[in-house]
Amino acid sequence: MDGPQFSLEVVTLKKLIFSGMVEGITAPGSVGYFGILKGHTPFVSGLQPGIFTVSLPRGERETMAISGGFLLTDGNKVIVLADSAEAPNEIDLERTRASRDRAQRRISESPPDLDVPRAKASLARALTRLKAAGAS
Amino acid sequence: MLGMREIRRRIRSVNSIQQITRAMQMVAVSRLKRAEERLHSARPYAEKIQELMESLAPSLPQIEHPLLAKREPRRIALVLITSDKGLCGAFNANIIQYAHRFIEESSGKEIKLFLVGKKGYDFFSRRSYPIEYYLPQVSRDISPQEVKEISNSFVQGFEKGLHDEVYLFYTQFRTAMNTVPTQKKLLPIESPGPESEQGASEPIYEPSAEEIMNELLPRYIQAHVYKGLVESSASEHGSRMVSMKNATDNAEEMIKTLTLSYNKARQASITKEIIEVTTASEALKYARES
Repeated sequence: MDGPQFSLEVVTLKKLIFSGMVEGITAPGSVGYFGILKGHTPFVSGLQPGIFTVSLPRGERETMAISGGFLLTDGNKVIVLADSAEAPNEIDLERTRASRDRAQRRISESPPDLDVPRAKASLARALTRLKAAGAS
Repeated sequence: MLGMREIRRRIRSVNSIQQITRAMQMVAVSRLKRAEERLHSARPYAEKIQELMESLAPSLPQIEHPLLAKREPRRIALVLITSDKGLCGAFNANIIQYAHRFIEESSGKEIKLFLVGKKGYDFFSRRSYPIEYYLPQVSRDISPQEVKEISNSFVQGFEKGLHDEVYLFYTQFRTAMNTVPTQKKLLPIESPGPESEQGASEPIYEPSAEEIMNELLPRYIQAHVYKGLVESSASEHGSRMVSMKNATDNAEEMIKTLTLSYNKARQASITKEIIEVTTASEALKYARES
């Protein structure tokens, strides 16, 4: 049986990624993953790089790799403002691996001019993308 | 009257100019189409971030954030978006004049320029205004990194108190024929819209309203910068399309007139030759008879 639905919109600076009715979502909040179902109390959260899961009606699921942004809800609709959002089949594995390796190398070499938060953020983004794509 | 050879040469050169302008027109048409699509797909984000700002508006007054700081506007940063290439009608002239007028009107204040696009730089580098930042050649599909870079250039200065207000000048796109030079005050960020109605239950913020703000405000600025870039790029291609179409039409007209005078010149020379032949034969006949 289908559960109660609410509307979800995922947008990035460049375009509308997703718009439609869903049963639930799981999002990588800045203090940990959380889920939202219909009737959630009004809520605004920051997001960190992670995997965003959408439960569609009829038991289908959709995942995407997002790299930070915001989520807001009033109980009937959820809006996600993502810095980037990619479906697993859109991820460029080659490039992602390259940027993971670059970030890891920089962190392990730790040159004096290393911007640590930035390198770590870059590594987190790359790892998330790979995880979402189910590769390593 | 021009000689036939001369006219032929002119026709040929007008013809090749026309080929170029027509090609440029075609290119502009397809770029405009893409720019319009970008404009269209940038809208949802801009609307949603506005919505989020409005939902946070009630808690804005309690938050102290460097980007909300109101100061006496003595030093003003002006961000101007122009194109790199010309041949797009009055597109660059309009926005540059608009910005220039703004500068002249705010005399007594210190103006700092943040320029995007070569044309604006060409204009202001010959005048005595301090150019703080210059980015030529924004890539065609405008990467988020570029938007971040442009935003950071003036946001950091604002946070440090190097300028007190920031205005964005860009060309708003309505239709290809109708583009409007526009100014928008970016910083300090003003509380958006009317205060939302009381009684609406305050949402839960995670981690906190303040930290959300810290993340949100820079993105709010970036959204505006991106929108300015996209609008300007659509306007540029629209203007180019229109002006190249005019150029192509004018060349067509010119070829017609030139062809007409070429035909006249040809007819005149044929007539002249016939006259010469008949005169000569008449003269011969006369010489034989006498």
